[in-house]
Amino acid sequence: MKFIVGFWLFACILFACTFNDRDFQIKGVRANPTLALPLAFGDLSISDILKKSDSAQIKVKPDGLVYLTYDQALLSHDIRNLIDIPNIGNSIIQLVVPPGTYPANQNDIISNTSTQAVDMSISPEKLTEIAFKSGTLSYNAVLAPANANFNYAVRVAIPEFISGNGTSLSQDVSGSGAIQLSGYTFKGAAANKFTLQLTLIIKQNTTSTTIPVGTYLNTTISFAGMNFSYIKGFFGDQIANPPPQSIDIQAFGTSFQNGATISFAQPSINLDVVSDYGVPLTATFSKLEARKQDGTSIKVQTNPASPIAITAPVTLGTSATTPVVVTNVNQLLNFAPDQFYYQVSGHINAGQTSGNNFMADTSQMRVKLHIEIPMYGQASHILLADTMDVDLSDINQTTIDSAALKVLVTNQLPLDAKIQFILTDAKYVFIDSLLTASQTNIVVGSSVDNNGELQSPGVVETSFPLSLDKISKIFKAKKIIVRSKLNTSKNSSGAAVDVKFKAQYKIKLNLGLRITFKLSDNF
Amino acid sequence: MRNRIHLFLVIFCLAWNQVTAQSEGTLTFMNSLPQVVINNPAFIPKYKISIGLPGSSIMGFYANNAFSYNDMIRHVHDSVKADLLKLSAALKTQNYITQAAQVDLLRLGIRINSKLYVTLSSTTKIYNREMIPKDLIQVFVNGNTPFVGKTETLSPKVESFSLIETALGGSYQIDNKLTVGARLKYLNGLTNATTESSTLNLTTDKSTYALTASAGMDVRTSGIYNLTQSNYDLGSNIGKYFSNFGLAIDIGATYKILDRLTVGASLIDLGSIHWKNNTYGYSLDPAKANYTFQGVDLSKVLNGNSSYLNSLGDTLQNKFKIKEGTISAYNTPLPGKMYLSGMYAINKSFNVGAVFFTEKFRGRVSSSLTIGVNKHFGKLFSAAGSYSMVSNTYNNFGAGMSLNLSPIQLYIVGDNLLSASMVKDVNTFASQTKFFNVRLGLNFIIGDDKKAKREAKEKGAPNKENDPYQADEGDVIKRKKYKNYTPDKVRKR
Repeated sequence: MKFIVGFWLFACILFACTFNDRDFQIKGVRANPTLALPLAFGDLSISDILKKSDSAQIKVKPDGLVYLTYDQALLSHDIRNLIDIPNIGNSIIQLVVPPGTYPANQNDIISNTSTQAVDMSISPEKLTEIAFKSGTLSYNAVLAPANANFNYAVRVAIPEFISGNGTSLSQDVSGSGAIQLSGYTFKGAAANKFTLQLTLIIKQNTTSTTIPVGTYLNTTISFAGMNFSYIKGFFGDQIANPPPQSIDIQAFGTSFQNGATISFAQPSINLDVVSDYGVPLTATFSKLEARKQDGTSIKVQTNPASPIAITAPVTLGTSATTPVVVTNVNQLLNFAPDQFYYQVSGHINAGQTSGNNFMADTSQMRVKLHIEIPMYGQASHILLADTMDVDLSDINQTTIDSAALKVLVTNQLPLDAKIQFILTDAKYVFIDSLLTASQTNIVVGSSVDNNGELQSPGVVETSFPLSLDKISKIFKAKKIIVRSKLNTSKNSSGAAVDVKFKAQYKIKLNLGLRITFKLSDNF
Repeated sequence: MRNRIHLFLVIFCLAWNQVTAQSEGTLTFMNSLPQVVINNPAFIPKYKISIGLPGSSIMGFYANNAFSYNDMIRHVHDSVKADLLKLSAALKTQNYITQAAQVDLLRLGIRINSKLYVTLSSTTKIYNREMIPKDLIQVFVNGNTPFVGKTETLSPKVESFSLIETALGGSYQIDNKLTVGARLKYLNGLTNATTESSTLNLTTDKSTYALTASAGMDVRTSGIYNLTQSNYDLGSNIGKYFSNFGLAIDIGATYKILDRLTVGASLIDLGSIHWKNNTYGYSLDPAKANYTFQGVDLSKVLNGNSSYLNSLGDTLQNKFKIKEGTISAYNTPLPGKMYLSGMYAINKSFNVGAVFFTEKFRGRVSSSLTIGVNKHFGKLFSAAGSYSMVSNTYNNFGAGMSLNLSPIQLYIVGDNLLSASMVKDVNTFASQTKFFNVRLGLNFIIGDDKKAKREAKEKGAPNKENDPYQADEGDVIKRKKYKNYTPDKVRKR
């Protein structure tokens, strides 16, 4: 029995214990997790840093050296437009029809001929060869008095107008009509002149016809719409004045302004004048200057200096190039222009009275501007700035206990950068700078040898604690302006040296954030 | 002897690296209960016939190898607040939380003759095990900063099943020393969720804080997906839940090394279940699910790629999108267990012993060690006391009691019951415990084995003297004591 009592006593102890569920009602929780998060990264080359609008102009030399090139060809038809072939008005040529009774005849009979020299009235050009691309010879032959029984025609011939198969222009026509001149080439011993021949042809007839005395065949001839595919001869002493031209340059933007100094080691600017005209040509740059948006400009100095004799091609269909070198390149680039501006006039056959010139209707004079700027040199105080929108309104600021910015930069570019993050409101009103002055040296340029080549990258690995005050201002900010002040690397003694920016040089950037939250909740 | 001590220490140390498992050490000492055969089918209960009716016996189990409720909270004045730092400090690398329950549907044990004992049982079993990596909790509690330059292992794992086990078993006494037993189990799987593989690693780069995530997953379920569908009619589909068949076997033996010392060994739940009802899987291809986030790519931003940030989100979503759908049938093993026991009969009614337990399941091996005593107080009352090292805890004092009011037997046994009674209230116990199991209920028992022993004696069968699992208290041992030993010798012992 005592065991039974013991058993139940134990059971009572076990089950009689009271259970208080309040001990199991968790009323709150608190945690302070610290997260380490990556913010941004990049493997940036000099191509990424330069403006996007210049990307097409960024090229790489075989040794990897990055350079900027700008090419622009401006076409000019102005000299070709100097040449015009005027219309030739109505020429009335009268052929006498021999009087008498014409019996029925089986064959055409060639009768009287009239010959007339025609001057095309082209001046001051003296053209000895014109390949017609277009043009119309119009005629109107009228018999006076009229005779319906008389069959006749008029043969229109111009010996100087040679067709593609080598025969001269000769066509029998009657009444009115037109002869197309395209495909004929005027080749005259006398410049600008040709011979017009009209011949009466009495056509075969089955009945006899009587022609009274005083009967004439009056033929009216005119030329219009003549244009050439090429011309030869002497084009005269003429001047073409095309309108001004400009070439915009985006590369420098505002980066080199605001006190920036920059020096490129081996820049070059060339002007190639390419001419298709077989005529002595002199190009005169009435204006050739580099301009900035603020209106300032400097003159571009060339060799040879303006006026420049342009080399002519030897044969029709070929071109000749006349190189023109800009001699004050460094001055121009240090000026950091936004635009090249020029106005050039072309003077043909200057002081000449004769010559063997040629041109096609497609002939042009092209001015090719070629700028090549190797990224090799030194610079200081280059300012880059970009603005980012920021909106942290979704985050409860009070949950942030502390934060620190982690920066790891491995820089192969010979470029130091002081970077500051400027906090502003939506209207760009300054709130605060995120970093202290000593914290802005985030990017250290690589060290270079005497040739400006990479020796070793600059490495910065650091962490910037952000005070709660700064964090509070980040939350207030609506925009962050990232402003960078760039300087090229100096040598070991601190002197500025020319450095090279090669395509393979990268700036590897990693930004991270270590942030501690203070989280709590009550249930 | 020295080598044996070394071997013991090695096993002890290895075992205690992960000590949490579904063990019932104290039950082994309760040879007055028909349920003692659960731990070793070679054990022979003392009653000739025992019957358990549906719901007459239940078992509950909880184990947490890392933390108790107290490790999660702190008391602030009158209220309770979660203390995540405290929890974080208490965590193990892999935190296993196991819950299990069993309800007897039928239990029948019959001693056929002096050598053979057969059992027939049907039991509903539920088993859940969740593995929560320490790193996963740490991320929420401390963030990923402690892991800068390291890799966090964040993938949890889950194993869960419910089944109905129908078992037919028997123990046979080969000779005076050796008894063998086996139990064949026919399993009807009801529901299952298993983690074939699961990885979720997060690496934070030391210099850049770049986050690299890689993941892989193959989670399979059976009979669960349909239950989550609002229009699913369980009643008309209940038959399908009995279509998952499985087989398992338990084998065991006891051997009497000395007259008073008997050792036992058993392997429990060697088998598997073939799941084919409503099999549904969730998977993540490890070859695809990996990504390194370094922050915003400045080169893309500088190049004006405005859609980059949007595409970043799409990329992540595509890479880590879990693929789910119907899968083919699959097999899962049962948590295999091993019991090694040793019992020494101090006298006719008092045994001392130890039980070493190991469970292997889904690549995890866990162990426990229980030492205990068993005392029969006459025919009416039996009791056991134990001490267990389990679930990384060393304050588990167990107890077992059976009140044998034939034909009714009331019992309760658990590995941490005494601990519950040693603290001032249930709250304290519930707050502190990491390990607890209890098995209780009633059995119908008919007849002890006196008659069988007499019959065996008459037929010259080997006696079972000093077999602590078969002892009829006060009878066999008493006979042996006067047969081979003088009372003085016995007293000296």
